[in-house]
Amino acid sequence: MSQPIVLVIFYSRSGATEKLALAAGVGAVQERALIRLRRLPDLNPQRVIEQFPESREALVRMHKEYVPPAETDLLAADAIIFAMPHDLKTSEDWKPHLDMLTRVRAEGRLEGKLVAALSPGTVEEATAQGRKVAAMAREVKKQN
Amino acid sequence: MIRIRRSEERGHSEHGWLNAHQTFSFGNYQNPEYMGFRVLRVLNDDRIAPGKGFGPHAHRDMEIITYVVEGHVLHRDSTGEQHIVGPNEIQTMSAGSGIIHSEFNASDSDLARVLQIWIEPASEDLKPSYQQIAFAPEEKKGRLRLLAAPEGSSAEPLTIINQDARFFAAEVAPEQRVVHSLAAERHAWIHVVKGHVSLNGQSMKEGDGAGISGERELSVSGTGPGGGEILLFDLP
Repeated sequence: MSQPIVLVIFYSRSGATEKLALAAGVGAVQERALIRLRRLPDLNPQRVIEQFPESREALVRMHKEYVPPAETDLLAADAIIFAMPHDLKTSEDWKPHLDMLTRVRAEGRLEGKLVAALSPGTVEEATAQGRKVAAMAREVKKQN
Repeated sequence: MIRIRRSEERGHSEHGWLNAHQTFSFGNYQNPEYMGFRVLRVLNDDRIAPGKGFGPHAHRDMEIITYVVEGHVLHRDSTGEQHIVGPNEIQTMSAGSGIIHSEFNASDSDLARVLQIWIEPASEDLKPSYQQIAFAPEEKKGRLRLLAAPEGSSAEPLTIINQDARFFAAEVAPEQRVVHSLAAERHAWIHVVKGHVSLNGQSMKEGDGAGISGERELSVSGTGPGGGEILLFDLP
């Protein structure tokens, strides 16, 4: 049977939530899943850097390293894990991506996929959650 | 038997930011005749544009060696390691039970040329680890410098891999020769990084590779105007 695909979608400014998203991804890999890591983008990266100068280094790096989630990522995934800072307000910048998610869901194309929100915690806890989601995704895939 | 794999027969992909040649099947390049050689699974010659690179992605159960020919790459991984690797350095990452890493050209102005090497580990689910060593350029001139091997293989600094394989690099000037004895039942792969060499009398140029089985002595000499640089893998 083919390996389950786990898509981790996150937002991070300082790099703290990124660390948890990576840990969840590692957990999924430990369970022999394939993973994709996607960061919700800042449509105006420079503005965010100016607004949060203390996170400049992490923001510049993440803007360079990550691509935003695409429709093909959603469709390929057997499970989707969201990782967001718990105190973060929704950003206007994410609207196109959230609209895409809503549309794909309305079209019934998310049916059968597992969706999980990463709860705040330690790196070890995030890894354990990633492992659990991947194990469940494998079970669901087996049944389908 | 020595079977030469010519440079121009390799896989090739051009993505704008990445110009890559694949000796063995990798990604979209799939050739059933070249799925690897013994435990050597991947040998990619990647030219990465300034400031560009591979975003975070995962590996599992693979010994991954990075050999930088030109420029510098910035490595970051989920174990918290962050390092710049350049020529005359070797980076070995043991993916084990799972690791996520990114690799970018560390320069915004210069190209990076990197050989990515994957060796299958002897066992699965190992603890992920990262090693990096530097060596003097002279250490590989006219001799085979051992860079990756199992623990206890050499007194010289090297990176440890979880497989009974040995990875050497050497530069051979014109008429200069290095010799490697291959034990019975052992195999070897030779890859030409730069220039021209002769392997047991057969001419090889940059990008060529050779799969070797049933031979006991390998003799590599530099040819052409500047000789050449090779990688040698002694494999089970």
